[in-house]
Amino acid sequence: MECNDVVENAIERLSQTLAPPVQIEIDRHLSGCAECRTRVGEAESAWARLGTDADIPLDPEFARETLGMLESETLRRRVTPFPRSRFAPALRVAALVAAGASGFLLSRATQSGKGAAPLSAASRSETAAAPLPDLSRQPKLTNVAFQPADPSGKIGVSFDATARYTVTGKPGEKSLSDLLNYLVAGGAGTEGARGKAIDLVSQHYADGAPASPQIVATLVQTLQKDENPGVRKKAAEALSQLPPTPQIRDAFLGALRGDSCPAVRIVAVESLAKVALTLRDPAAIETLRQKASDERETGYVRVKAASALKRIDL
Amino acid sequence: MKSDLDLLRMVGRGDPDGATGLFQKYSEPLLRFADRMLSNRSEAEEVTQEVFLKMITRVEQYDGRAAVSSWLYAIAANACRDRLRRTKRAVVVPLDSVEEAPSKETGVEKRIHDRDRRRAVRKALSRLSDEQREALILARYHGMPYAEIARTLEITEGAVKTRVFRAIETLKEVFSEGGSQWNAMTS
Repeated sequence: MECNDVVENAIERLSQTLAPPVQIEIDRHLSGCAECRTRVGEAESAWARLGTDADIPLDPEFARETLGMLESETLRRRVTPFPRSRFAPALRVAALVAAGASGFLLSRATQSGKGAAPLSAASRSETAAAPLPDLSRQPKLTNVAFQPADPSGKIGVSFDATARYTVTGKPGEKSLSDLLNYLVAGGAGTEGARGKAIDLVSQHYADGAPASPQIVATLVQTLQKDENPGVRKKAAEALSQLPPTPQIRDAFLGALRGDSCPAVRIVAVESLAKVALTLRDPAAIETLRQKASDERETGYVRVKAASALKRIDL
Repeated sequence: MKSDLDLLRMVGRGDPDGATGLFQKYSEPLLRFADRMLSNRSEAEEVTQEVFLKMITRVEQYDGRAAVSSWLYAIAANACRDRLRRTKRAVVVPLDSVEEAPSKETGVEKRIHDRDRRRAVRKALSRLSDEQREALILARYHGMPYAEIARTLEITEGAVKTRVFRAIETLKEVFSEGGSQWNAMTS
């Protein structure tokens, strides 16, 4: 057994019983190695010193509050199964017929367009260096793809408009910032692309970069109006990275009061707690208070609201 | 007396006694774990609540590979890591954050003495990486065998051994830096 192994095993011995053969081997090594004896002695001393940090007790009030919350959460999750419709078999048959018919139509449409596909691909590669499309005309950007940041922090965004375009640069640069803003605002055809654009915006502002009013307005609007809860959640997370303003606070207040998705409300309550702590904002505090005692709300949101109020020390 | 698995099954069936039983058994250790990870009591309480709420909402995800207790510690470790990552902070030990543990001796001097020693330990723990700290805390304060720590943190036993070893090596240095001060405190 090497000296380092002996010390490692000796530390393990402090927390539990090692297998007897290993212990015997350690003892044999220690009896003949003064350096290891010193090292093990020091390790034992550090281990013992850690013991002077006594355990904190459980606050009975905290225990009562939590047990109440756990009980209500358990009861809330007892969901009554939705009654089965007596029309269900007929609906299933109708759905199968509809799916079959649309598959047939789709395959016919794909076959008729087969000749055009290579031409379209070729035209994209030829026009890769074309000037960027005018975003003010609100073109729909499709097949959006993102390239991760290179060592200099530059990212790439490729998309199809009238041709295939690729824009590279740092997320804070105007052309790229405008493009990301446009994608978040709905210019991206798919929810996945919108979400990814928000992620890039979020990463950029997480480093403390100042946010443009346009991107703030776009994120607020996305949080308020996007139909996809995942995209709304990402917008809320991106906004939570920014320094709180009345506009952002109002967006969180609205999301916490009215968003149908619990995940969005969770981000909203965490962000609003931050706003309430930083600004001591009465509207934020009042909403948190309502949420903390709202029986219809999920346990997690209620807990977050209650602990934010506790930290504000009202 | 019901086993942890029985209690967790009750949670799955929507019986509130399941969550109550597991809370009574594990709330204190989990609170202490989070308190040492974050060095902040109020955040540690939040993490403890999060753990039990997640236990209810994710009960179907428990696959039985690790003990119920390890699963709860794993949730707590993830919650602590998330907090530390989200706030991108290192653990700091503000002067007034270290709570006084209950002491049988009530003398003012003794209480100050205990508080100073606790503060010194917390400061030393804050010098470790998050990974080293969580492995060491589970080994030192929760008496968890390395194999169980490995299952909890989803790392190998060898990695646990290395993390605890490196943590102790760092602590030896930290304690020896303030050696005389420490010795004065512990004598």
